[in-house]
Amino acid sequence: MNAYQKIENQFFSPQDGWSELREAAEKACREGFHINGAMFSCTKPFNVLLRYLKDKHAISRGLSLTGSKFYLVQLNRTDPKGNIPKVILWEDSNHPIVYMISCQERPAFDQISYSLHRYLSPYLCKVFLRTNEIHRGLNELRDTHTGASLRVREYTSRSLIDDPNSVKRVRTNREWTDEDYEAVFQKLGEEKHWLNSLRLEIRGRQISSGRIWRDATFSCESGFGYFFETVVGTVRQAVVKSETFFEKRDRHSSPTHTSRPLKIVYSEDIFSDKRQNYRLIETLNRLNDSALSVYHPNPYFHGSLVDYADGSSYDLWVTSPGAILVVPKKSTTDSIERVCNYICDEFQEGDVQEIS
Amino acid sequence: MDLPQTVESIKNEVDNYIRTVQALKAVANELLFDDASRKLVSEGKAYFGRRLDTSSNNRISPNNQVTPDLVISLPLKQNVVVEAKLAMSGDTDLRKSKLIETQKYDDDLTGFDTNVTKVTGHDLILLVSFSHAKEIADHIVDLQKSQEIEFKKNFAIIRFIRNSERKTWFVLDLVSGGLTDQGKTKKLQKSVSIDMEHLISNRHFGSIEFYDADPPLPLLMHKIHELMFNNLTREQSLLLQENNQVEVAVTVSKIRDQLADSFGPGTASGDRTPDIPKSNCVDKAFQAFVRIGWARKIKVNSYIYDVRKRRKHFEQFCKFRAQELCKTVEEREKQRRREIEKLPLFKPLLEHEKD
Repeated sequence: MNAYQKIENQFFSPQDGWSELREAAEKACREGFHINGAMFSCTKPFNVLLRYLKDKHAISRGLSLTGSKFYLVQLNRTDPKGNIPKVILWEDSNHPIVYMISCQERPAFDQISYSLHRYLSPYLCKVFLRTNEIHRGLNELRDTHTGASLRVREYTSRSLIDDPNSVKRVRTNREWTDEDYEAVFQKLGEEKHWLNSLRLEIRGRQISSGRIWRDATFSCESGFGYFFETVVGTVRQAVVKSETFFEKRDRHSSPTHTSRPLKIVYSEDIFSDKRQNYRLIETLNRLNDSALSVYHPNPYFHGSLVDYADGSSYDLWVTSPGAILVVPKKSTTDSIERVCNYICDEFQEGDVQEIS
Repeated sequence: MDLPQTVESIKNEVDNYIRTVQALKAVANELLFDDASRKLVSEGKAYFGRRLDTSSNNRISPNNQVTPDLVISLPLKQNVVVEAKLAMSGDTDLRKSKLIETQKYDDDLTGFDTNVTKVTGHDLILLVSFSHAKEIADHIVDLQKSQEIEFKKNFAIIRFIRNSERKTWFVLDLVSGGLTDQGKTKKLQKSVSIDMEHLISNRHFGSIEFYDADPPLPLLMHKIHELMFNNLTREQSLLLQENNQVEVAVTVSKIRDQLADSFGPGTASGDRTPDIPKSNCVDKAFQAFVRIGWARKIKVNSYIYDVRKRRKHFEQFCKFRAQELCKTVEEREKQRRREIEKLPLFKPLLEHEKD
């Protein structure tokens, strides 16, 4: 058994409690491993999800579950490097949130987290955070951890390509730096970029570093316990808010028995240029596992989108120059998050708001 | 008949249907809007289809039931009955018969919601598109002069247009006649603009997508296709993920009820709720699914739907419908030619039939 396997075995051995798991993750970090993780909100009790992970469909998909409280989930298919993807899975004690972490490399982690989400969707909901939500979260972190410094070491962002001859419409930018997070967010705002990921170093009671992505996944390089308490804790609050905002929006699940539409609002009148209607249509047509039907493209846009991932459907409208209306017909939290994030990430990031 | 042109005209038909629903929502919004408080009257009700009873004196349909496209009831106010006629034919005779038929609402109708208002009378609105409004108003005046048409109730013609400048608005304006409510009459004479966003996000009637006219076949097929995905159980969803296809048994009545619940006027009218959409329309849509190869019939009003993740399904439905229409026209033409060959003496008559 080589050193890598030894650490991995220790990490995935049955853990009795959080302190043991944290210690195993800290140790893995000290040995140079990155702890990859993700947060999901859930719309069914955790024990129901566990039951699904033990049924015949889970077995046929190669998913197996063992342990108690901190569960080990394995995907009985090897990744390209020959590893069997594994994660430790547990639920938050106060919120309907599920965590998964792994000391394996990112491709193995992505493979199993994707399989788990796909299998447990729409009850296990992928959450996406927009630039201002991450910014607000980090502000709260600074306020609650007095004296802590939050230095950004690297970030990736996206922005629009202005060149009308370009085939691509959105570019991805990557910056290596060493700045206070506030300066980075200010720059993102000024340059009209939206955040994709942020590599942070937190210096406070302890020192830790790691990366967070807008899809509520993270990767810790050092000081796992402190990173989880601070950065992941901050993201958790944003996840809870996001879940509350997006849940029960269709006519069937809404408390008012009427659809609760929302809108993605832009700071500029982007749809004054009617070519943007067609760019939106093109973008929506590329959304994986979905189908768009266009009733009316121009001068206003009216389309219908069915999300084949879980059967949700929406009406989409552009009737004013600065906003897209999303009207859920039958929708799950998982799907509405996916659709709104997709529009924000691939078309242009806007502020997702309640219609007043 | 040219296929792309037919596809385009089918899409226009769908757009007209959607536009009519929006126009009815715009009228409901305006009639329920209280100008003093600047919000919708919470006690007011809009029924997108409600069966009302006619009297023995009804000139068109005595002792029967009629279903106006929209009924508005407000406390202490006259009810308003609205009939939308957007796709009014250019053929004068056809249009005349449609206009005369409108008189079925000019009667002492009963069946209004007495929980909202004890007032039993009503006004009548004919809702028409901007482009036809003048022509229709003139036609009605002519018919009134020739005593072929008569309205004893307050009768108003309101035209509407979708106006997309900076934002998209629905503009309503009164072409002729008036309502009992003088305030609304004056306001509508000056024209009223309603932000389309208000209609889309309206909590009471925002979700309504069908009214008391049969939806175009591609639109109905589209709604059914989406509904099939909405309805999948967890077991069926997993099978779909694994096999990219799952067969689901459905009955026409169950799908009709679900369509009515999701996109119809709801059950606010109780026993007076009309069948929107009608069962025979839903059955026709399933028959079309059978012809396109997406479903198979197992017995009367029961089908197996082949649920698959299909792209551009609405486009496919429009094209399919257009192909069927083109084929029908082609076959009729072939039949006519055969008849001309067989009966050359009738050629002028058969040529006239074509026109």
